[in-house]
Amino acid sequence: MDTIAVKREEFQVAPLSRALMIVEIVLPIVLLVLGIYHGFMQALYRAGVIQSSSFLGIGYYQGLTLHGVINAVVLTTFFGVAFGNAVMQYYLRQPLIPGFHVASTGLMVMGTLIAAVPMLLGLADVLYTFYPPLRAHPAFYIGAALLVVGSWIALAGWLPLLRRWQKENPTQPLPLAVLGMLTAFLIWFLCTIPLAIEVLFMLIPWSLGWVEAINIPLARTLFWFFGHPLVYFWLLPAYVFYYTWFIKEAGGKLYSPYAARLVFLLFLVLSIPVGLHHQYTEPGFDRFWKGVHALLTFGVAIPSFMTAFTIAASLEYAGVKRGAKGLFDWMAYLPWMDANRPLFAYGIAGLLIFVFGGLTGIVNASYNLNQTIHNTGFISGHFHMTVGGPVFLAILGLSLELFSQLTGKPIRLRGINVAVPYLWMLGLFIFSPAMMYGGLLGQPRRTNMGLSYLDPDSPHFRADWIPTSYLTGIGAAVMTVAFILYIAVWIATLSAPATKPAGQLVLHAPENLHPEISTQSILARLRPWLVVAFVLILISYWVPLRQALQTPQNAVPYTPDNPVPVVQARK
Amino acid sequence: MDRAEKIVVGLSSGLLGLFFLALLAAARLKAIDVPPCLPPEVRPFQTGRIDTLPDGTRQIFYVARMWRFEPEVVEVPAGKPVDIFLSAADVTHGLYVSWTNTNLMAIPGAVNAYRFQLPQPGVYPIICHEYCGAAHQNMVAYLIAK
Repeated sequence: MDTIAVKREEFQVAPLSRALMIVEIVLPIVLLVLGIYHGFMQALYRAGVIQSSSFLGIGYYQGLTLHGVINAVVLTTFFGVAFGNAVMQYYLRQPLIPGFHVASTGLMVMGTLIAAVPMLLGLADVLYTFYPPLRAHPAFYIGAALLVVGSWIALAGWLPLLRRWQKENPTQPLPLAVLGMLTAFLIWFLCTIPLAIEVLFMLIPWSLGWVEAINIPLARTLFWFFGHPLVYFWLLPAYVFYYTWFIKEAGGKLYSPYAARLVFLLFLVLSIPVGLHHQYTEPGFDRFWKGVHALLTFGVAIPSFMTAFTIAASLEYAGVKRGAKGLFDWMAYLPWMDANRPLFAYGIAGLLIFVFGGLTGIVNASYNLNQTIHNTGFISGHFHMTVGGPVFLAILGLSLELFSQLTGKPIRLRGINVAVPYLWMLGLFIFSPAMMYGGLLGQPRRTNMGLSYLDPDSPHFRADWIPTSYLTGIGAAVMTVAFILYIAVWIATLSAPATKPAGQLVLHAPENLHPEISTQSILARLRPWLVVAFVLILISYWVPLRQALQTPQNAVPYTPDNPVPVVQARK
Repeated sequence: MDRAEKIVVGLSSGLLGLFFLALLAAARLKAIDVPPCLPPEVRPFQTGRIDTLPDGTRQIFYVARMWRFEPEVVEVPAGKPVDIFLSAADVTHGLYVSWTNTNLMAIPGAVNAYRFQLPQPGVYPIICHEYCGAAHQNMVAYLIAK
């Protein structure tokens, strides 16, 4: 069982799906230019290099909104759908259903464009968490809703392919990559339901003026019901890459398919009932339930510890196969700078970053320890080592590779391409520790510090924050250079002629070192795990939601530039 | 699962369990805890004020609004317990007393609370750490411990 040959033919993508997938990949990369630019600008504002409320016509908080929405929502959702489309077609050996594919990509593009207009006009400076009672233009919420619905349709379009594959292959468990993408999108579907309730029934009618006031603790609880599982929706496509293509690229074998499947299923169970760990410092919830969410958040760290072990063991095998003899020298035998294996470089840099991203995440989840760092720079330092680390680098590496396969154009500037992830890592290893240390000194996370705390003429000037905010800027500059090089690789690749037939997908997967599971195993079934997930969600959210509902519906909307509420101003 | 994997799962779960017990111990023995849940009858207030309980405990009722805290400057005795009650008058704000664990969200519709003390005399800036609009970066108050 353990040596089933996984070498397979490429899969020819149909012309329509090919064109749509190119849109799904290229559109967010183009927007990312704006997203990264604003990331760099923020570092300059925060270091006091720019002492202004805006630069080149775009405000600090407007740029911060663009940075968060583009990098953390648009890029990740589009990539999740594009990579999911590739995985489903390739592993299930079936074309996508055209109607679903057109509807899903169409809605996502439409939603992004609709939300972009108010953001670019400065009518939605509410950051990517859009906490009410700050109110954005209704188009912002409507666009975001369409983006989410588009991604739901992508999932719906995969289900018939899955059923057909299972009917034709009754003796095989789902391919690992398919299981991984399926769990990512099931988590996404489950957690976007509370988001949809918040946006459709509270924020949109309220922003249109149909409803005068809403309940803020309820809106926040619904948001974080969505907001933490969201990070697993970012992370799991990267995990799919790590468990399959990355190990193959390193020349290894997957240490254990059993553990890999268990990891994805544990995420399905544990990634949702943890949202209250973003609300430890808020009023209105019993300490007991905050503690329950803390414990469950510790639980969801376990599949990541397992992943660290399994991936390292798989890489050790690769090193040994390449000639390593000792306990640790296998690391030296990995293809670190192999220009023909750029995905190894993107993957390993992401993993090294994630060691620290994961550990700092446990700090944030730690109930009372969070009192020290909540909403400080520590948080931004942390999540740039998760979503800005393995997630971002997997997206960059795979976007380029998938684009190359879909167009038949080979990747150009290969030497530069393989250096990009390490340069990014170097910048991040300056940026994040500086941001986190600044957080321990009390620097707030989402603040234009150049106008007050980092302005020597301000009464609020904080000289003790200068070193960390300057270091953050230096780190951000290095990261920006890495991204510019990445864009140079894109431009070189785009302008080169195709050398291969377009649309031939090949998603590499390693062989297994330990036996694959049988279809009788509990790991081959989804339903029991979904049931446990539902039960845990119900237990963990029943009381907190009831407590949130005790607040009266009395919050009227404000725009970020005016202390007088909108409703009152209208009257 | 093979033996090595079982060991990894066991060790990491054990370590996390130990860590969780340490957090609970800090909450119980050192009284370092997250904000409590006040009964829903405690309704938000619109004006800031300072009270002193018969036992000498200082109580500060902070109102956070775009873009200031009320009261703005408060003197407290160093090394003595201080109670904070926090209400948001318009949008969501944050209240973070520099160099301490006093880290609270001000949420419209609910009252937050925290008991703490400032061990050393000095000036402690209070910073709004949740984005609250255009002048968020200017929302600062001060505690003076004497």
